[in-house]
Amino acid sequence: MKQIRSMLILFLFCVSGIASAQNLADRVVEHQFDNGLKLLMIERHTSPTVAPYILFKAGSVDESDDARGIAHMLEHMLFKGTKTIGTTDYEKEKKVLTEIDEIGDALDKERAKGAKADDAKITELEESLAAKQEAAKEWIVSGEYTKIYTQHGSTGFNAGTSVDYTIYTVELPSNKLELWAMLESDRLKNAVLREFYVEREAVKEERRMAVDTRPGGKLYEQFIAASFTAHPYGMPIIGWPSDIAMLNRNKAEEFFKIHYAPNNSVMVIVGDINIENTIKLIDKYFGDISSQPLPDEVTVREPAQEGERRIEVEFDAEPQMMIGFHKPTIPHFDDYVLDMISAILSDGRTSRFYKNIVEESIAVSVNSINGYPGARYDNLFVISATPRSPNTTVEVEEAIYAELEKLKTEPVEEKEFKRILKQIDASFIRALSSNAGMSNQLAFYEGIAGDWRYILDWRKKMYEITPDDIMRVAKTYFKKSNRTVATLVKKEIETSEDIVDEEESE
Amino acid sequence: MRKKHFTNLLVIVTLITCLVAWGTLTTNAKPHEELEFEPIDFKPPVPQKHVLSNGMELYLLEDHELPVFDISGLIKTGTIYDPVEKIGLASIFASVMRTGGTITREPDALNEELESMAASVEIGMSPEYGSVSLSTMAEDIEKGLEIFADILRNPAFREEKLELRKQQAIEAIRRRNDNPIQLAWRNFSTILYGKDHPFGWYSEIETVESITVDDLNTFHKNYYHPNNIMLAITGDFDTETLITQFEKAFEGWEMSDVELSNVAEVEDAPISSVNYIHKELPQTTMLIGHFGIKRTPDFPDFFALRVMNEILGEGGFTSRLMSEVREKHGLAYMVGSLMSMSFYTNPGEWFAYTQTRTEKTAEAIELIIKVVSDLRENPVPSDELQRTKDSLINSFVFSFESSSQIAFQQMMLDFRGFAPDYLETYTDKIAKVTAEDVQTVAQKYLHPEALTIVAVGKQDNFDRPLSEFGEVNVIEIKQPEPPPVEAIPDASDDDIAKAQEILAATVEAHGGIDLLKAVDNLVLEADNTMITPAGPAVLQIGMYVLYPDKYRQDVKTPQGEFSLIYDGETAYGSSMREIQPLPPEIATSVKDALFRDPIQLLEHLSLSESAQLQFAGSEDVNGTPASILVTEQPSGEMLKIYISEETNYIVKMVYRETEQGVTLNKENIYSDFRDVDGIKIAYGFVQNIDGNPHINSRTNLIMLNTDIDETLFETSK
Repeated sequence: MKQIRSMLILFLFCVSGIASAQNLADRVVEHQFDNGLKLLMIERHTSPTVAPYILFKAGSVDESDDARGIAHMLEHMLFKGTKTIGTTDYEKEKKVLTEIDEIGDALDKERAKGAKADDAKITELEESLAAKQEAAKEWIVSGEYTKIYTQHGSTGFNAGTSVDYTIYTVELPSNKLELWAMLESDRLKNAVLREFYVEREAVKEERRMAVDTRPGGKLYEQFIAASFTAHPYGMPIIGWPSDIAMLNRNKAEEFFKIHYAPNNSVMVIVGDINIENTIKLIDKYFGDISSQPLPDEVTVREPAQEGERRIEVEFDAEPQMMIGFHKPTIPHFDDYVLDMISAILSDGRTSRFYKNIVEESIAVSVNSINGYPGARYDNLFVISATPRSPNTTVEVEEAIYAELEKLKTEPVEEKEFKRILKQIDASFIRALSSNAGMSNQLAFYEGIAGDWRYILDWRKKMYEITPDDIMRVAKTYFKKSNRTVATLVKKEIETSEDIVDEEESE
Repeated sequence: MRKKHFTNLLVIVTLITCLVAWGTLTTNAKPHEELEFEPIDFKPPVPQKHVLSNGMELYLLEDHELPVFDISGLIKTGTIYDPVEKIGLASIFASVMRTGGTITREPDALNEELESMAASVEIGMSPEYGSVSLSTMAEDIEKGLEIFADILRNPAFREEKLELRKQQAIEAIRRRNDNPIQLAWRNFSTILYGKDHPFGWYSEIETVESITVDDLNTFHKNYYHPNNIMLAITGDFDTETLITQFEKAFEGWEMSDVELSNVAEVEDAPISSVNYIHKELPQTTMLIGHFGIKRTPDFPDFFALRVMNEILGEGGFTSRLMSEVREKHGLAYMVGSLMSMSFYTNPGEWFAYTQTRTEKTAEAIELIIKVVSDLRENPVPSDELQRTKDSLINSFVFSFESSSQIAFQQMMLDFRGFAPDYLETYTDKIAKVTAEDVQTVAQKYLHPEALTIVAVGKQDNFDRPLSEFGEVNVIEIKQPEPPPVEAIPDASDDDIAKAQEILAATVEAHGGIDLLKAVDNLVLEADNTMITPAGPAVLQIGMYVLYPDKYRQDVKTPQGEFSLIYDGETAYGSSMREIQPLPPEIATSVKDALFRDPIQLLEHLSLSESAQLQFAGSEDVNGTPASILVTEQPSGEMLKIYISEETNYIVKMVYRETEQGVTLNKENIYSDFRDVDGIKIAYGFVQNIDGNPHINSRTNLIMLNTDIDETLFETSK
């Protein structure tokens, strides 16, 4: 059940996993095109395959309030083809698509009236929408875009939307790189967002699957919403159900026009390539796309948290919990220190959480991660835990805080640092063993940190961290007033009311 | 990059033109159709096979791109060999083999040693094989190998690590109904295979509880021998040097015969069944299918099935299920199918899966069945067939992306006994599959008329009742709960000293330690009045105890005579006709009951050094004050012993016991103490459960040290 397009990227890529510094610095080739497009390449001839990735610095954080979920919805829609792919005659199809938009809009607006909506009108609009959708099928070639890639032997053909960015991924036999350049540039120049309302239903199912039926998904959504009161990092990437219900083709096209610019993207190609030919190839297909003024960054700042926030989420499942502390993002020095702290707490069987909480059988798992839910803006240090019965979240929470207190008062031993640094160096080396993994990391750091060399700098900084830094940072951020605690509690099944499906108007 | 061993055997050639069929779909040629692609002519490296002097098989492939070293291997064993009363043994074994350390390496020291050189060793368990891996930096090959060999040869299975793993396994069992996909899947395979088959059963709290350190040692002794291990080895090494290092690391580890028991093979007869599991969720999770394919190397229809499955639901976004259910109808985000073709002892499963909004449940099931049926009824159009075959052929190169993948793949093929030209002929065989072949295998291996359907959701809101697809079997999900062990309160030195004082008086009152010690066996006859939901019932009881650990109870009821026999290890139930082992939880209860037997209890508490006993206050029993002593039973449950301050007799015991997953509070009250050969024994006995009367017993006869017939405790007949 793994073949899922557009997984929501909820996790910041774990920084540890980067190629050996010197090795990497030598192997990455950079090229900047006139239109602002940045191309990064690594030549690797282990097998005749290639992993070309494109990242757009356009995530859910860039959405306006009346179009929440549009970054993710657009990502789905960009698989629907272009003026030549996915259609037998776009000129004829175009007219019907516009009619579908008009009816769909009217229908959404009527449904949004809720109890005051005119049922007869809704039925009428639904029928005419269905009729127009049927009419459009005369020209639509469903799934053609995907079929071309598949036929040519693609693997890992997918895309993902995070709060910070959207990334389009694929691996191909290396002789198919030109096909990729042609298809990708075609969708940037000529995308047609057809079959919108059918896909919107699939997105609603995605939300039900990832959030509404999954205890961990539900807990995460509520946790992050409680953590951020002002910053859009608190909003779900996929949108709330009522957001999704109001998404349409115009909103998607507008988002596309603003954000999918060559100067707002990073392209990475790792694998069996020739550098010079690749630059020529990319220039041929992408060189004529104009650069454009970039949208403003988000200016709202999350106000300082002035007291602990605690929430409960009721679900028909056994308990688990998340704890988050606000902290600055890259390139603030404390962010590096928190990466080190996260390694001390939860990397491997020598980590403190594992030894002192999991091996003591208080919890079956306790993990930490630095940098939720994104890295473009100040974010959270998050700890998640699953208690082992008869222990409850109360005992686990106590045990976690005891570990955080130790960080504040006891200097970390040299042995612990050394072990972590050795592992960082090893993961640097191992990262180079996968084309796809390397493409992903280079795209992420170039796109989000602003320069892929952040990877090299990160390793250097990790070596500079001292025991005093750890204590200072732990004291600064691991404070009660700075934390949000979310607990999943078992819903009493007997007394539960029906879970209301907010989308039953469909 | 240094030169690799190349062979001419396997050459991967991708198709140059593959879009012929597309022309028919479109009025004008599309730009991408005009592209021309250089052919790929790739000779993947071939691992070198080497058998060590102790029979261990190595698949070696040097790769000097990065200074790393990796082993990924298999052991011929698996979870399918779990004994029925210890389901979960193999996978718990695998975890504890890694976490328990070795004879000379404490677990913490082992973890520290590995992680400080950024190395890892992991042990895993699949249904039909066990796995083992090492990864380390090239500079640490020798050290890494030494640790790897130590773990394989000398695992220590430390008790506390087994206990930890068991607790984690039980927690996983408690949580297994939280996720609807997991819930549907577990029930689907159980429905197909039944609870008595390794492909259909799942570990339960009792089966996990019963696993001991001895079991892990036995498992290791049964399967972990060099001649039962295959390893795929890749990285920055020199083959010749490495083989020498291997011989050294595994020196003295001898070959030994390994026996794999036969796994029952299910009867592959498709049966219709519709199953519903209630869960308060806005989306229905469903699995629809039947048995899959048992994959033997000579299985003839593999390639046609590979193409068929790709078309049906394994081909990602281009499969028919994806295209119909998601792209055209918007009924789901996730939809597809999966035919298991990797098992060789049994056929695994084939199923279509999806999650759809509650009010579209029946529509989605109907659509899925239609897509499946269509594949049987109509030949696949030539463009779709061509596209699918091209996809499989062109993406074949991704099976050779890394050296570790290549070496592991070759090892697995040899393990399963595939022909040496399997990979070499793979793409040709795919290319030869015809539309007729696809239809033939669809008809042979897909059975839309006999589907097992499992739907997890909320049926009140289904668009149409599930019964449209057949008679609905409603599966009730019970939350498995382990009996919470009641903790013994902390004791002061005074409490412990006082307990010893009271104990001494109790021993004296019951006849003195010498007489108690001299008791070898006991025979008892009684009439028990049991309070049952249907009213009181009188049972005649005969009880035989051969100290310290053999026990038999015969019960005469109007329905016939039954016996419970415990041989010191396992409990058996017997009626006139047959005798059979009982679940481990019964044995645990009997063990506790034997522990509570006053003669044995007083002897144990007085003489055993490990006995724990503490004073825990006083309480009235039948209007007379009694001191409470607390100790721990073999199950770990606490036992409260009430000793009359007037007579110093044991007048009451309070403890908890789990019967069929339910924890009960039991209270035994003793009265009518009489002298039997100088020992004071209660002839009156009342048991209350959760405060309600359960048994009222009148003892008719007690005899000590008779010539007891030892065959009473035999269970071989």
